[in-house]
Formats: sequence, structure tokens, C-alpha cells
Amino acid sequence: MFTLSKDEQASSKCYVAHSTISPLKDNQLPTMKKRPFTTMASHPFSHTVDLILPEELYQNLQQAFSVIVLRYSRVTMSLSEIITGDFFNHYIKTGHHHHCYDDIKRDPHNDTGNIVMLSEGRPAVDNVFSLRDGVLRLEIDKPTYERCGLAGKPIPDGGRKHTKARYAVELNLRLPSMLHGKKGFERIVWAFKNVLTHSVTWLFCNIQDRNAVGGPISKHHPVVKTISPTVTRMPKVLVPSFKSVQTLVSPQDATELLEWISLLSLRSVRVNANDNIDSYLSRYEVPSFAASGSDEPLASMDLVRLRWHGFIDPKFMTAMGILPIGTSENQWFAMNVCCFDGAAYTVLKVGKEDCLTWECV
Amino acid sequence: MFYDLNVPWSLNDPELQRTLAFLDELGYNVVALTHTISGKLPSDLVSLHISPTAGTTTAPPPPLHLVLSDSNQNYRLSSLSGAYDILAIRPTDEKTLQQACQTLDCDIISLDLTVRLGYHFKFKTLSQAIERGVRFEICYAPGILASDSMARRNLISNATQLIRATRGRGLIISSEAKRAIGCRGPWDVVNLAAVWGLGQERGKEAISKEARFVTVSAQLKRSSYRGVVDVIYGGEKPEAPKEEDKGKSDASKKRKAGVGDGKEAPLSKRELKRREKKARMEASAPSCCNDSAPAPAQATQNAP
Repeated sequence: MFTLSKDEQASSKCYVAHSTISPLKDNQLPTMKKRPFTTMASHPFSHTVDLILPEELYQNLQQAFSVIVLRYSRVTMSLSEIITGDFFNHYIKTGHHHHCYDDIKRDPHNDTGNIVMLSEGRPAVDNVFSLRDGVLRLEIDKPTYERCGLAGKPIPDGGRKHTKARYAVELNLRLPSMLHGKKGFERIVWAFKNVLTHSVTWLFCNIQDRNAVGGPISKHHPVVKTISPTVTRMPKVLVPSFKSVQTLVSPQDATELLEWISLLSLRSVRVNANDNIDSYLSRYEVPSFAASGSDEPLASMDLVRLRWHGFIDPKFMTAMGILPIGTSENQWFAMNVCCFDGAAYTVLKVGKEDCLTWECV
Repeated sequence: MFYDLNVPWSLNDPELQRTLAFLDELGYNVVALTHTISGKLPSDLVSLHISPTAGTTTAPPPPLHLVLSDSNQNYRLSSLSGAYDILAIRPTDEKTLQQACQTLDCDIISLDLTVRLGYHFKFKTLSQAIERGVRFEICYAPGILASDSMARRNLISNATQLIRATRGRGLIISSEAKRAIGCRGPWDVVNLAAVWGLGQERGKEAISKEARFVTVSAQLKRSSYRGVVDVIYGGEKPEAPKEEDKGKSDASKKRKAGVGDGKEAPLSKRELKRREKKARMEASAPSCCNDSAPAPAQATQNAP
């Protein structure tokens, strides 16, 4: 009776990777083709970012944090409003392909809109739409897909394998053929006029110019939100030594390290230096990673946790990834990110160039 | 999209609003209110008009639960189809279950799983119903809300037996919650069904795909031709020809008739017979084929 069925799905996996980020020289940015930047690019929409760092590093970086602003707006629109009028011309057609370098190499003459948008709806259950770099992605169920008349690809929906129950349609609206009057575009117009007609709530972010006020979006009465981080101090926390990060990629060590970062993110008291929980209730110990035999106690540090909770776009994440930190092993930060699609990843950056990335999919 | 196709409805039920609001909060998109009739059908079936409540996304007309106790009684199922959207049948014994599986025109077979059933489910019987497009319903809330443990025990054992006998096919899971406290979230329901032996993927289908199948096919049964062909969009009506065009066409016809140089008049029976005979003769005497080949053409010319 209680036997688990055979067609059980594989449980979720966690991948860990070690990478080196070459140091910044006169505003040269590290390559974006390596982790953690590829991980950030593959999960574009996230809702919670926890940044955990030592107190002294936080004091040094306060200037950098004041530059990074997180501002987005909530707006109610239908899909047909996206591909018509000023909104289409201003934000999608004239927008530039999102490039990871544009954070610093911003051209003031090119300040039109590159936008990211995400609609309401539960992933893998409801119809969810997103817009990024001019690519409109519709994740829709089979009945809607069949009525739409747009070509798409089947995606997994958490149901049985090999049954196509959900489809993703990707429409690159920046292509030169995507113009009113062209045949392919008129099909999209027809689908948005006859099938996907509902107005839905969107999160909207103009990543080209965050401080831009007005523009075609103002016609739809957006609710603008500015997110500043919640700062939580964590005094006297036991910290493992990060002397040899590249050796920590073994499954055992990597899991223990991820557990420790997650406990920090949860603001658990088990990692405190003066924690005196009965070992009968919790047997957790902060990992030391020291060579066997050496009995030196773990260092305790004052830590700070900054939490952003809102619509976090990929550009914001890139800006976090290139935060300048010192060269010593005492200078490190950990970043815990939860995405809208249910995925999560963690980045630990130590010293000048060492970087560990855990990705849970 | 998550479906809950069984929320008991009764007139002036104070708990219903709360139940619906809670189901909406749990993430159900479509909720069907159930009107249960047991015993003899009332002579006048009043169609219930339930206004869609604010919480639910879609509120289809209510499904009917009909409790079958006597297999010989005529339940006038066809007369019910107009008043209700989905017709569910609750057989009380093996004979009525067999009847419901084989012949009765219904959408759902919903067994009362909280009582001890005196028979075993047979795959052969149940598969007949599934092949016909009838789905079996498992209601979980009676087991949750029951005060005695016997009901819960029966529900678990009967649901396990039903899952075993149907081999996980053609099942839908709904709440039948009389109070909000009996409702559970969609993924909790999937987990519960997984404990009872229904795989996670099948469990998800039971509250989404299969339930949608029931609503769509029930709708199609009522509106379409034999449940197969339905006109979704008949196109625009052709414009009536204008007055001038009519006059023109009439005039042209008349002129043709008067002049006599239009199309050929229909051939008379005599002429047809004559040609037939000629063709037969040609077939029997192929030597004279070349000479007589243009003959029919001549005949047509001469005919008028």
C-alpha cells in the first residue's frame, strides 16, 4: 500500500562549481562567460537576495551599496498593450540587447528602455509571461497553446514524463520582421486579441535607466517601488576558515558549507559563538575544514546580513557579483538568491578571485 | 489550473462562502458546486442559478450528484442534462455500480468511500466506464472531517482499492468539504494520493487534467452533435445580394431564354435512351468506331 511508485521523478539536484574571477584592472570587468555570472544569467528573475558579509567589509562597501538602487513598478496590462503603440516602440523596438557590461559602460546617449517584465501566476501551473531583451516568453497550458496558433516547444510541467501538457512560446519582438502588417506579427496580434485577452499584473523594471520617470508606462498607472535592503547584524558568529576554497568542492564539504550559509541566511542562532543548545535537541556544529589533528578553535566574527526582497533583475545581480572586496581570506561575502521559478543559488566569494557557486535546480 | 469539482451546495448555507474563499486562497482555479439529490427525482427540476462568487475564477453551473439505490428505477438522466452542467452518480451497491459503469449516461461516478463496501472493485467493470469517458471521483474531506475513525479507515482502504483497480487511470480527486476546515491545498492532495498509491504525476493529473476533461467533455456532450462535432465559430453571415444585382441576373436569364444561344437545354429521356443504344452498338462493333465517334456531338447539336 505505502510503497512509492516507480515513476517517481528524480529529486532536485545541487551543483557546485569553483571558479576564479580575475581581478579588476582600471574598470575592466571580469568575463561574463564563467560562473557565477552564467548562473545569474540563467535565472533572470529572483525575488529575494541575502548578502552576508563581515562587518568591516560592510563598512567599506557602504558607498558601493548606495549606488545600487533597486526600483521597479507594478502595473496591470494586457499582452496586446505590450505590442502596440508607444510602449512597443519605446521599450521593445528601440531597446538595446541587454549586455552585462552596460552597468559601467553606459552610454548616456542611448538611454532608451531595455526592460524586463514578469507577469503574475504560479510557475508550472498558471499561464506565465515574461519579457527580457525583447524576447516575450509565454508559458501556457496545452488548451491555450492550441487556441493561440503560435509555434512553441513543450516544457515539463511536473506531471507525467512524455506527455506534453505545457508549452513555451518565445517571440523575439526585436527582429526586423516583427512589424505591424507583417504576416508573422499579425498572428501574434490575433492571438493576443482573441485568446490571451486577460489583463494581468506585471512587474516592470527599466534596467537601462532605473530613475526614469514617465515614459509610455505612465499611461498604465504603475505603482513604483523602491527597495532598500533590510540590515540585520549578527554579532559573534562562528566562521570556518576559507584558506583553501578550491579544495572545498568535495560533496561533503560543499554541502556543509552550503548548510552553514543557509543557516546564516535564516538568521539561525545555532551558528552563534555563545550558543549553548542541548546536543540532544540539535547536533549541528559549524564545520572547521581544518586539517585533522589541529585543534585551533573557530574564529568568531561580527556579520551583517542584507536582504533585498522585491523584483530583482539580472543587472542588479551582476552588479552584486562584481562587488570589489579585499584580497585577504577574511574578506568574503556569501549571497543567497531565491528565484521566481523555484530555483535557488548561492555564491561565496573569498578573497580576490576565489568563487564557489551552488545551484539548486 | 487546479480543479475541485465537488463542493456541497445547499440553500442558505452559511459555510459555503468561507469554503469558497479558502479554496481560492489554496490556489484552486475552478470550483464546482454540487447539488445532491437522493431517492426519487422531483417532478419539476428547477435549474439552479448560482451567481459566480468573487473568489473563484470560473463558476460553471452546478454539477448534480445523484444517489442511485435501485437499479430498476428510471432516473430520467437525459432530462437532467439541461439543468446541470456535470452529472455525477453515486451508486450504493455493486449492481448499480455495474449499471453506472456500463450504460448510464453520466460524467462522474462518485462512490461513497467512507462506508464499508461489501464488494471488490473489478478492473473489467471500471475500465468500461473509463473507456466511455466517465471518471471516478475520490472525495478526501469526509475522511478528514469524520468524527469516527472507521470512516477514515474505510476511506483509505477503499481509495487504495479504487486506485489499484483502475490502475491509476481515470481518477479525479475532489474535496466534498462541507466546511472550510476539510479543504486541502492542491499539492497536499497530490501527496495524500501518493500515500494511497497514486503516483505523484497521476495525482497531479487527477486534480488538473482529468478534472478539466470532465468539465470540457460534459459541456461538449450538451452543446455538440453526438459529443464529437461542435461549432465554435460559424463565420459571419453572408451579405444579402443587393437589389440591383438581383434585377440584373433576372434580366440576363430572360435574355438568354429569349435568344436561345445560352446553355443547352436538359436532354429528354428519349434522347438519352437513343444515345445509350448508340453507345452500346459502338461497343459491340469496334470497327465502325471511327465513323460513329462524332455522332453524339451531332446529336447534341440537333437536339434543341
